[in-house]
Amino acid sequence: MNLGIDVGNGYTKFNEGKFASKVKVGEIINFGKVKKENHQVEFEGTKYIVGEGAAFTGDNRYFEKYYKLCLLTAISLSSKEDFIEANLVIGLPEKKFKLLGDKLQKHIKSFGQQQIKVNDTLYTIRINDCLVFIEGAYPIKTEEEYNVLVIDNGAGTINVTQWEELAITTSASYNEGMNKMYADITSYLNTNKEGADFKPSEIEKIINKKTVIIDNKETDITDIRPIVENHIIETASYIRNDFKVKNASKIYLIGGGGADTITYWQKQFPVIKLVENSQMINQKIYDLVADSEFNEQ
Amino acid sequence: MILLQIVNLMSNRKSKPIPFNLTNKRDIKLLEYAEKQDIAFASYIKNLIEKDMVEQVENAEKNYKAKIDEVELKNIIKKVLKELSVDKEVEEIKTTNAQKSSIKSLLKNLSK
Repeated sequence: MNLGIDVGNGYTKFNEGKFASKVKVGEIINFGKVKKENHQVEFEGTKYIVGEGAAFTGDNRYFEKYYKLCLLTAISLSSKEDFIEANLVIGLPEKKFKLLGDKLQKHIKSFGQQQIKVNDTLYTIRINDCLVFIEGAYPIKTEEEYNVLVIDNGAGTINVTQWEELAITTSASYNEGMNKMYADITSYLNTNKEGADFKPSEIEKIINKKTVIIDNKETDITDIRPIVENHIIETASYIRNDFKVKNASKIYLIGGGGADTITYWQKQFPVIKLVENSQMINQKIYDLVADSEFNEQ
Repeated sequence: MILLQIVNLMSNRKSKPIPFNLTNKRDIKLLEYAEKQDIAFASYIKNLIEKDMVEQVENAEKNYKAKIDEVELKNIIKKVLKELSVDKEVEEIKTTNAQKSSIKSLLKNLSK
C-alpha cells in the first residue's frame, strides 16, 4: 500500500489520524479512560508507549529508534491488514533535504521486513520502497504557479518556502517553533502565577484560553499573549529579511501551530491564509506524491 | 331588572347540548355512568375535557423530548464512531496530471 506519513516534531500524522511523536518504555495502565492517541507497542522484545514520553528532535532524530517506532506504529495503524507491504513517502524540511534526503531514504529502505505489535495486534511490515519529499509543498496540491510563500509553523521549527512556477526559489528554517514558545510560556506562568506548575506539553491546550484553574483558583492568563505575539513578531521579521514577501501573491500558513497562532500572524502579514486541515497538510501532500510515484510502478 | 340581569347572564354563556340516543347501548352506558358521578354533568364534562387537554400537552412534550433524546443519541453515537474511526469515509487520493508533473519536476530539481 502507498502511504504518506509525516513524523513531525510534535505529532506523527498518517491517513487515519495522529499521535504525539513521543515514546517511552513501559505499559499503558488501564485505569479509567485510556487516551486514544496513546498506543501500546512491543518491538524487539521491549514494550513501549507511543504517544507519550520523550520527544525526539534535532537533525539526528530521523535515524533514532523512536522515529522508527513512530513510523512503524503509523504504518500499522494505517492498515486493516496485519501483513503490510508499504511504499512510503516521508518528509524533510527543504533546508535539510540535500544533506539528509538520500541518507534517510537508504535508512528507511534498510528496514526491510519488521514485526511490531500495536495495541495487541502483531503486524508484519515490509518496506518495499521509500521516497523522501519536502515539507511545505502546498502549491503542488493547489497547482498554483504564481509566487507564493508557505509558512509551516511546526512544533520544532518554522520552515518557510517561497515558490514560483511550482519550484522553490528560497527556503529557510527557524528554530522558533511551538515547542520553544511553549517553553517560554511555561517558564513565565510558573514564575508569575502563584501555585503554577505547568509542563511545556500542557501549554498547547491553554494557549488561547483567557483563564485556567491554578491552585483551585480561576486565574487570568491573558498576559501570556504578548509572549506569543513577540514570538511571531520575531519570526516574521526574519521572514521579511530572508524572503521577498511583497512579491508573493499569496501567503499560506500550515503546520500544527498554525491554527493557534493565525491571529498573531495576520497582524504581521494581513493577507496570510490558514490552510484548511493545516496540521495534516504535509501528510496529505505525501499521500499525493505516493499516489503519483508508486502507482505507475 | 331581574329579567335584564338574567338576559346579561345568558349572553355571557355558551351551551353545548349533548344528545344521548336512548336506543343505543353505548350511549345508554355512557349516560348512566356520567349520572352516577358526584358532580354536576356539565362540570364532569369540563373535567374530562381538561384532563384530555393536559394529556395532549404532556404527550406533545414527551414526544418532543424523545425526539431531542434521539437526536442527541445519534450525535453521541456519531461521535463515538468517529473516535473509533469506524464510520470514517476513506478519502480517495487521486493525483491530477498537473500535480504529477510538478511532483516529478520538483523531485528532479531536489536531487540535482
